[in-house]
Amino acid sequence: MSEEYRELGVSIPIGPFHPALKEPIGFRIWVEGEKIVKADIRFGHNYRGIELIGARRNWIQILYLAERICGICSWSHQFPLAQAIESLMDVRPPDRANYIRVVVGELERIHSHMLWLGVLGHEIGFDTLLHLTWGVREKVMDALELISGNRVNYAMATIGGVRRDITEAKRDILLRKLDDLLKGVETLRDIVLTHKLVLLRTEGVGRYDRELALRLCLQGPMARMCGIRKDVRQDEGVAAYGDLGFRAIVARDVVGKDGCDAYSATAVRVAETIQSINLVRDALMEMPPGPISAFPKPIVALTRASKAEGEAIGRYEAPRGEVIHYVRAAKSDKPKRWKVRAPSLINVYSTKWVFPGHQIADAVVIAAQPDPCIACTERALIVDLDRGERRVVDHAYLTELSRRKSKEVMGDV
Amino acid sequence: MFEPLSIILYALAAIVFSLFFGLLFMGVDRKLYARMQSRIGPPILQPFYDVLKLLGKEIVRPRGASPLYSLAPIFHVATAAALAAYVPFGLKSPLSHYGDIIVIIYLIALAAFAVVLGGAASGSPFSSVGSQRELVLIVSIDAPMLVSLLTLAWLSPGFSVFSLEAISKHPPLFSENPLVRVLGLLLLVGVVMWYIGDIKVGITEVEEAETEIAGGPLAEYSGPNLAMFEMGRAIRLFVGASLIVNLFFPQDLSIFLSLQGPLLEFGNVCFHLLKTFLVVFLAVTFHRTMFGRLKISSVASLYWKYIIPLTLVSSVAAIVLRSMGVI
Repeated sequence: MSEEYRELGVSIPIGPFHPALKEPIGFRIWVEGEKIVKADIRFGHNYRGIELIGARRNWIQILYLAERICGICSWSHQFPLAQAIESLMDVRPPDRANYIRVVVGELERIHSHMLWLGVLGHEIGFDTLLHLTWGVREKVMDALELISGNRVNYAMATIGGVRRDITEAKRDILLRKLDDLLKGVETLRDIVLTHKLVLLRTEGVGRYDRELALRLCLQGPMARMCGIRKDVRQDEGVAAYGDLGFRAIVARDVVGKDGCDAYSATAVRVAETIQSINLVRDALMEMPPGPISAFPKPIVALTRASKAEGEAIGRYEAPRGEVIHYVRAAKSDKPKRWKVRAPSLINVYSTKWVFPGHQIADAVVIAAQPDPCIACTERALIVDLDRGERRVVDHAYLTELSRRKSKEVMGDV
Repeated sequence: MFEPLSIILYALAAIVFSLFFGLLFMGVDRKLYARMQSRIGPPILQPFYDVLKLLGKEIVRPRGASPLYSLAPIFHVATAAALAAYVPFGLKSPLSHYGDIIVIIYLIALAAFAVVLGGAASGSPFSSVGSQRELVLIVSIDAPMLVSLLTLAWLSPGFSVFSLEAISKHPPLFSENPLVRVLGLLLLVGVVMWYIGDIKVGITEVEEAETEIAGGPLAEYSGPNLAMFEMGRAIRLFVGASLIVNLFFPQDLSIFLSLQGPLLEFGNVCFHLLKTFLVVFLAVTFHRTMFGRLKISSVASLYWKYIIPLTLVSSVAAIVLRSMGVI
């Protein structure tokens, strides 16, 4: 903490560990009474070095590592990576695979948005909303489990297509589940968008404006709540979105105006949930027959990928915004470089400009508004209170530590 | 009955009684709250387990806490206990001869101040913000309570004594005069809003606000100190609802059944518990299922813009009507 900050008076730490946060991230706000005068954000509490680990795995294995970048949107990392590798190899997945990709991606969006809505309810002390929303969310989780056998890490994407087909029988069950789900979500929409308390706590809270949103390059629902019709699904027509005639929703389509605040963000997310349910239904109905992968076996794909050279990116609209995966290949079974740019990095930093002027009670709503997903960090800071030391853990120190550990392990052998 | 020793024993019994039913109501409240959210919820006896477990833990004092940190919980639970001995629970209250409504008002405010003191003494930013919010709450909720209680006293025909019994003898909601019934209804709103603000649930849960300031004044409390705050809260939950019942619905069982002697007294206690539970259910459980937490500024404006004017208007109306001889 610098001297300049110290003069600002009382500071309140929200994080890295705080009841309002589900993942470690450090918001620090400086307050005068209840009013926030300054805010600062710190990442770096959960560094996992996942890109480096990825560079040691082969093209197939890395897909299932990518899935574990995030605890919620596993598909949103697996799919763009598969896309990037496909574009390296210049392979197009078959149509049926593209439709299945839409189904999985949209089911994931539904469960992510429902989760967010519950978290918002919890942040404003409205736990009933949390439990109702998550009750509805369970139906999506069941649908995902039906398709892939798993609730969160579906392992559905592979190079050149998907790994599991959606059979006729599964499709019928899914369609029935979707009707149920739609009813639940519509009830929730009617409650959330008109409940007096939700209005009091979200309207005007976390207000950006269109210029600020453009300047900070806000992503996903955060951009769409400001009226910026930006969505990779619409702009790029990835997978089968182009065939399905997808058009992104902005706040004014739902509530009549682009509020740029937490209420607009809520409205956009709820409307997107309903849109996703319809997309899944359309994709299931219009799904063409045919193979689900361009390659008969993963090993064929791996052999082909090992001959690829050059660099490629894969883009996808995750529930939180645009995810970009960059890979560079050099005729090897492993990537030379793999880089992930998640939308939360941008969206979370943008809150820094929005905190001042709000009350402490709004801080948690603002912090939750971008649906922060803490995936990318770089370092750790060790503070030794007894000795009054602060030390940044850097690469050299970590290398030294790991060498020491290796020697220990070798000693046992 | 009026020997000091028997009064002390009776008061102790009343405190234990209030504590027991306070914790029990808390448990039932949590269970019903959970059922209304389609959850299973904790066992009904969970608050008892919580308090017992907390009592057995070691005391941790944060660095930088002032000596008041350890005194505030004792102060809080002692005030709440005194309150329990002043408010009747279907039987006559043990200390009814030693004070009137004014004492009850003071004790209620004191218990809240103990929380403010404890929070301010813990030296944590969360606690100090929580204490500030609690102060704003006290200023907001005590005014409608004070006005309502005094008006209730004026409305009762006796008028000379500010005693709970005098008001209980003539509940305004069941008066023969329709004007008094209307006034009583307005005052009921004022007192119920005070109750909601005093136990801090639902819209007024601003002071602990787990997701905002991590428990507010109690953020640094643990072990037996926290247990004392929990017990104090249980007693206040029960006594507050009990006070509402005494003020507005004081009828005993004799209007339904012709019982006599100890059986009648036992019946009255049960009947009183039933009414108190209904108040807790409506004002606490139902209310917090339906609403979340407001911002402290909205809470203050809710009370100062609507509730306080409402009680003031009914108070002035009571004075005017009484001087005109209408009521």
